[in-house]
Amino acid sequence: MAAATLSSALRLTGAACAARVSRSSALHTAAASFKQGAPAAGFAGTRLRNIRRPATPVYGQTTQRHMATVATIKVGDKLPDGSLSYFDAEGALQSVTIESLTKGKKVVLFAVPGAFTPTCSQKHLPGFIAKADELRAKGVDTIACVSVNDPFVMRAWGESVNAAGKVLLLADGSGVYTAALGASLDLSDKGLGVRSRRYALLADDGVVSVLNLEEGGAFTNSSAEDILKAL
Amino acid sequence: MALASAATLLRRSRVPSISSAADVIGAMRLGASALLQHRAASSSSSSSSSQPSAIDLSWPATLQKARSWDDGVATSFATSSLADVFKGRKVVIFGVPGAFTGVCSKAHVPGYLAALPALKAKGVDAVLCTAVNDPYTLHAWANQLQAHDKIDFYADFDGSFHRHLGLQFDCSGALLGMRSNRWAAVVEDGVFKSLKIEENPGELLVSRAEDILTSLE
Repeated sequence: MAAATLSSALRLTGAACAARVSRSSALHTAAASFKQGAPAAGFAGTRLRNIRRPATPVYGQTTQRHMATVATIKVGDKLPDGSLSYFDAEGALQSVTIESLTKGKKVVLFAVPGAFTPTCSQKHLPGFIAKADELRAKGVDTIACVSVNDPFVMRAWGESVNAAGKVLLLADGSGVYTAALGASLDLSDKGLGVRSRRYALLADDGVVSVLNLEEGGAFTNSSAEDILKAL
Repeated sequence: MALASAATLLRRSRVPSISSAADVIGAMRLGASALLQHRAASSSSSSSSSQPSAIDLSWPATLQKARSWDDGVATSFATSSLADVFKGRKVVIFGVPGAFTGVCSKAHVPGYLAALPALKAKGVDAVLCTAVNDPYTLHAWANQLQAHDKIDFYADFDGSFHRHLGLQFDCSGALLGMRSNRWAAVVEDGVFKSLKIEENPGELLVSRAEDILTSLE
């Protein structure tokens, strides 16, 4: 499983690079069709129109272009598929699709603007770690945290707050999945680049049943307690 | 050499799960294309030579000193201009692909930490480390390496500083995206006295502290 998913992740990253530069709203459709083993050539086909590539790919910049064209996720929507990466307990780099993570399960997915930033480190993630057992007792199968960071940083951050076994830290390194949810947030003036808005959601078999989406990085209704109340 | 770059990069980043031949070939293909892309990018972004001779201190790029979020708020997220960082002093600066990744953490930074007294004895005012990470991640990493008070860490969060110098490298094969290549330099008042760039960021052969010490003689 590890070898297959890694090679697919490598292929997908190539496809993700191609997808990043698209300006059209077809990216949302394309992002929804991210599947294991989908050939990169598929993106040169009929779905994407008016592709304009910059001379060199720019770290984080391209997600800004489709912020305006993708509708933000809302209650009742099926979560778009996408691929996120993480380091497992043995230290191997793994890739997981949202589809496989959420199919037939009750999943809590929450997002932070950045690893190692204060609200995220001191309140948001630790809150979910502390409430993990309670959430599991209420039927939650998986608790996952998404951030636009690379998997190395996510691993180091998880170790610094002892997230192991409680919360799965998923890296949306290029911000592609965050953009597919319509949750991108430009924090360049803080030196962060394009990141994710803070949110917490509950997905039943991949369909969003509870969604607490913050404005920017505020921390008002997306804590573990808020999700527990909704269960 | 070129074909092994991505596989090496992944190995050194502790990714042991490549086990089948198909995966190695896939990684190699990405490595080769990444290396060709890097070579094409660096040859098109520089003038005649393949390496820049100086940092244009008037160019409006900024670096951000690695700091905690609270410090960022206290300074209104102030940035440092290139003149602030390089003008009028002699510094040793080295660039790494990513905070918390294997070679960077285990060998590259520790090497410079150990060589600090020797470098200062040769008239170096400061040792700087830079990476395409945000300043808060760099700060956390510097603390973990206990290097925070000894080496100045500067964040090139959008990669613009490295792209301007042609030192960027596509590390998508290791799921890092566009980052910095591994490099080290002695910069005196913005002019490169020596500049050493690795063939690929997974290696640490020419940009170690010892290499810089040799070039300072």
